[in-house]
Amino acid sequence: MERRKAYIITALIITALITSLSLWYLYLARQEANLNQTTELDYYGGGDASGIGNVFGGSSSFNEQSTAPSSSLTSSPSTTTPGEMPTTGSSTTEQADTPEQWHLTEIYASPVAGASVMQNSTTTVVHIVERKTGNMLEYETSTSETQRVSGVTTPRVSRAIVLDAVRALIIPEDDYARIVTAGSAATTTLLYDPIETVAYDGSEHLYYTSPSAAGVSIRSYNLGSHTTRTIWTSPLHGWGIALVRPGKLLITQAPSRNIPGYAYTLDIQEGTLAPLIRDVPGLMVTLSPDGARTLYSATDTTGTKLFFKHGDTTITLSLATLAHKCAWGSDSTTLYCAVPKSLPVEVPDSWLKGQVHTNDTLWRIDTGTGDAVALAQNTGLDIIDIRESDGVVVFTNKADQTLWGVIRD
Amino acid sequence: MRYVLVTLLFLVPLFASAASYQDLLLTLDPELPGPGDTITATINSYAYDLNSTQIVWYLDGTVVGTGRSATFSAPTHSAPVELTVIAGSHSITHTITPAQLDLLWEADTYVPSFYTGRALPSVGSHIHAHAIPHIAATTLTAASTTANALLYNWYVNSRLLVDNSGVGRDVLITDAPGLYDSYLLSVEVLAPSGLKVARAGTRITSVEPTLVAYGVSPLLGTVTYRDYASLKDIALEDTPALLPYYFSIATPGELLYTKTRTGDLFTVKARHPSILLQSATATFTLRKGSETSATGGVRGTTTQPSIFGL
Repeated sequence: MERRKAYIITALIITALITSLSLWYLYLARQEANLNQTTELDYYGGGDASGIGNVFGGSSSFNEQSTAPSSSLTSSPSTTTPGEMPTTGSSTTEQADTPEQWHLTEIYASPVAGASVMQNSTTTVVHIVERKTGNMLEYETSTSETQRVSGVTTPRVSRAIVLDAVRALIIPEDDYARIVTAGSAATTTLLYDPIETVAYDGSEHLYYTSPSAAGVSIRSYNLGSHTTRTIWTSPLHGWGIALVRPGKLLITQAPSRNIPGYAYTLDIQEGTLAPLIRDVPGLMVTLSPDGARTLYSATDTTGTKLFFKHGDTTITLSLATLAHKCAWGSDSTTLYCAVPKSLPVEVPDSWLKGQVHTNDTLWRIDTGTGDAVALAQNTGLDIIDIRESDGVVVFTNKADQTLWGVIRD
Repeated sequence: MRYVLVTLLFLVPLFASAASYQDLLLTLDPELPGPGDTITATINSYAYDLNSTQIVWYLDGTVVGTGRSATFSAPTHSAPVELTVIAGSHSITHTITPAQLDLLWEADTYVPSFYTGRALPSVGSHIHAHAIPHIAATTLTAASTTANALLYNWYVNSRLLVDNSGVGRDVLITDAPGLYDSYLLSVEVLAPSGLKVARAGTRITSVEPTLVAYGVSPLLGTVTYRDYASLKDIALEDTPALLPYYFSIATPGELLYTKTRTGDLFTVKARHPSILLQSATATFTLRKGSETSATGGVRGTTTQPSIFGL
């Protein structure tokens, strides 16, 4: 009898223990699920970007867990025009007065190989090189009219750089690069060097990487004298270049997720390197035109983070995007960034291969204050190659290479 | 015997003195600091009771700490500085050379010319690495201010690559890791004086080659900004182009293709002609009106687009 009683008591104790442990397990599992959900939502933003915010988070502490700037004010009402995307825009000081209004418009519906935005005497003009034909076109923002400037046909253009209103560097897919000059006496000058990446100083020099058996050379090409000069050579092939005034090039190692990259400034005259950003995974960099401010992104297995560096201070921005989706304004303080609603996995590699695309919100950021304004929200566009001039922001949709603009009303 | 004892009487204090100097042991963390790094210096001794000794640390003559350890910042410039620690009546001096060493690498595998990402290693390919030191000229002798005068020791894991190391050997070409494998590639740089000045390392992992299908248009050329699977709104010729990524170009050649079809779904497998484990597969649905492409083969090399439907 005593033994049976002992069995019953033991069974009750075991049952109670199992029940307690099961309840504890369920409680922990629920807590973990909540934690995972919170982390994911925080990291990728989870919702629409509001019209205004502060990318510096309003304090010295860094906010590393959100794709969109933290909301601090209500954005101005969205506006929708037939044939255009709903957009909104305002700024902290202008909220009380008249909010800025911007509208998103498709500038050119056929794939473009290159474009630039310039001022002429009366209006802002967008110069375009068509991918199918290599023709140069001109789009006037005030009238929304496009006219053909050059009829020199070069099919299968993979890249182009607009040099000025009548000249462009055109790089066809399987042919020599060439400088095409429009006009009644149109000319074409061939460049016999193979060109991988290229930058233009806005006046007389092109800078480009040219592969060789021993690695790669960075060369300058004088548009006036048609002479080339080797500035620097590397035993490695994978370099991207961009111009930084005065007399400096930004050179960045080809990026890959979770693999360290390095960026340097290269003195064009001396051919000497100065380290800029070192040992950062998936490194992408863009430098302000005066060379004083650096924006760079890092991508590893945990995601993508964006950093702003000025002097010895580096701040993590509350924008999860790639630095190649951002561009500096000509004042070296304003930053334009396309921030994806969510970043696909395996960026930047899969994105650079064209296997994934993003749905971006275009932000204008004052790096002096950290204030951010959404110029166009959830555009459905994968924004790259942002250029700005006097209230006109032009960019390319990477998914189909069409040209778009956000224009201040 | 008497002379021996007298001699020992004089010699023992001399040996004791030498031993006491050697027994002051200075360690730095990090061992090879870069400009601006936070350094923790610690002194130990097996010969003295340092706990009861007054210890003062000097960096180029300026006091930076007291006690058995001191924490301070390396100068932001890369010129050498003298760290001196005085422990009672003994002292020890160490030259700190803040230096940086960049270790850059890529693989000699093929990526299309429009692709601006890194060429990654696959089995059978090679790693090309470049060590770029940032060291003040004053660290070196006047005749050795260039990177060519430094000694580079390259390591894969802990194995010294003797044939690739030496004075001026700042570039390394070595085998990539094996299939699904990785290794730690590291390099250390020594000044001509033998002073070790910097070290850097990175883990390298091999990946599998891939094939990506892009569309081809007579006027646009290869539509490289969008893969074939996601093309919807651009009129294209019937033939997609398969672009190889990460196949070794050290031994180029014609890729060996096999093509299988299940309904409209095509699976194309490419294999390197001479590297056994280098292969890649692409799967895609052929666009409408492309039936003529479905009947042919596939042809292309490790460094060129492979034409589907030949």
